[in-house]
Amino acid sequence: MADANQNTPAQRAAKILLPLALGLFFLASWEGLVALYDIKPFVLPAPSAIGAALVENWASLMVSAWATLRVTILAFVLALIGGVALAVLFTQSRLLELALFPYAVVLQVTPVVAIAPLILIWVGFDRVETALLILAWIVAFFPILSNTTLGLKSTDPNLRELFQLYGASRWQVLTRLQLPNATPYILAGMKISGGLALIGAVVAEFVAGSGAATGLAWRIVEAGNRLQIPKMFAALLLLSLLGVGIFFLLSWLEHLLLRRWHESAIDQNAR
Amino acid sequence: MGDAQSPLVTIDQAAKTFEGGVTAFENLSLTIDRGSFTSILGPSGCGKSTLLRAIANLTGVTSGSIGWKLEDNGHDSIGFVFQEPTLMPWATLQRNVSLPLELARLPAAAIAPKRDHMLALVDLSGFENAYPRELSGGMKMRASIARALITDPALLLLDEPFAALDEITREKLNDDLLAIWQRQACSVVFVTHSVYESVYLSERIIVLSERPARIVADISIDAPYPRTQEFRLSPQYADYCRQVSQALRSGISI
Repeated sequence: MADANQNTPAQRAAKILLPLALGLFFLASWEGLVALYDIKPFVLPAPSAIGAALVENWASLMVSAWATLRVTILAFVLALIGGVALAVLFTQSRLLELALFPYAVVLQVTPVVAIAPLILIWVGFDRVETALLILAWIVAFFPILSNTTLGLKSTDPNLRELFQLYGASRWQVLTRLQLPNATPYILAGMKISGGLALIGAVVAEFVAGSGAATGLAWRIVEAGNRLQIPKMFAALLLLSLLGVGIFFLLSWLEHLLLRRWHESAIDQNAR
Repeated sequence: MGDAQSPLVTIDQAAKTFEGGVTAFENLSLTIDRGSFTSILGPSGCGKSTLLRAIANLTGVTSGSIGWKLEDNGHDSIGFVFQEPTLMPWATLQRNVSLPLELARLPAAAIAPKRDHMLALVDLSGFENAYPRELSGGMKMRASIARALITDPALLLLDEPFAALDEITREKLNDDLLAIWQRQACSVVFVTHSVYESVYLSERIIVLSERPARIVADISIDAPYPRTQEFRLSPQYADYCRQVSQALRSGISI
């Protein structure tokens, strides 16, 4: 196909080396400019200072990263289960969809920062992690629900008739036609939700505030209050890495599941 | 083939009007004999696909009736081939072909030999584990035919199955279809808008008018099977084509 020459080793190497080189150039300029203009670390720390802060606070930052990651993963998994289950219910009962969908939208469009204090009060400050989980779940849930609903509904009408012709049961239609058809949609929703679950966890931690929260977001607030800007950057870096890690993991899963049959994930090399 | 003269499908005074008020066909009576090869020919949008779907009981008729004399009068005895191959893109070829039997909850051990037989019949052995997107249009259509035949249906319905294919693939599949029909001893109802295709394939051609469709001609093609390229070049073939073509034109009001 047209991308036949996109797969030469040189092209593939360029795909990795180009951004890497740009990143290194950016970091070097950053380091140089900070030294050249003698910028104070509490305004903008040099990359080397951030690296040092990362090493110095490694243990506590890792504990925090794990706390944030745990909330993110749990919220994501619950959003996946809840979103798919509710979408399946919606396609089985039009009545249920009509009744419930508006509330799912309300939940989605209300800013999570605005509900966070309420949820915290309801759940109680002694169970902050549960509150964080609920908040991250609220943010992560909707993309899965709406994508899955779309995927379950957009089956080929001829295939539906074929299933009807052979007297397929509702269960067979669901498991052999609708769910496989929805798989690419669910995976796309998961990629959005994975990132959102992390954002939800971080925002909830910010709101939960002092003492109670132990995640990376709280490390950022804490370091900011103490003007430990390099440590703040170090926590920020870890958060970005978590987000990137989640995205790549889900992209890999998508590739694994769809590469044989779906246009979005066909191996470039197999063309 | 149709010598048995025992009716398989009896359409009696059938009419179909959609909710919007469009009438697909009306006052339509037709008997399809066991083992016959019948083409339904008509201009585009004349309601011939709707008629086919009504025969398969995928849609109801507004008045009149459509009766089957299938062995068990069930769905199992009808095979349907759509305009597009209509394969499940997420399933391998063998899973696609065995779908009707899987839906009937047959054990895998009972499905495997039938599936392999069907794949061999349509010349797709060796592609068991290929996904639809990896196959050509003609191969996908053959897989679709194999799927329709795997239940060993008494009646095979095809809705312009080769319309999207190139001429050479189309002629090849026409021959394949005739060979399969003679071997399987099923009845075939073949919807098409191609005069040449219908004359080449059929024992009998039902020509429909524009919508609302009614039968304008019922033409028997008295030429022996197996039909070959020689038949396509014969004066007899040309005569039939002219006759069918005239009938088709008589049903259009331009």
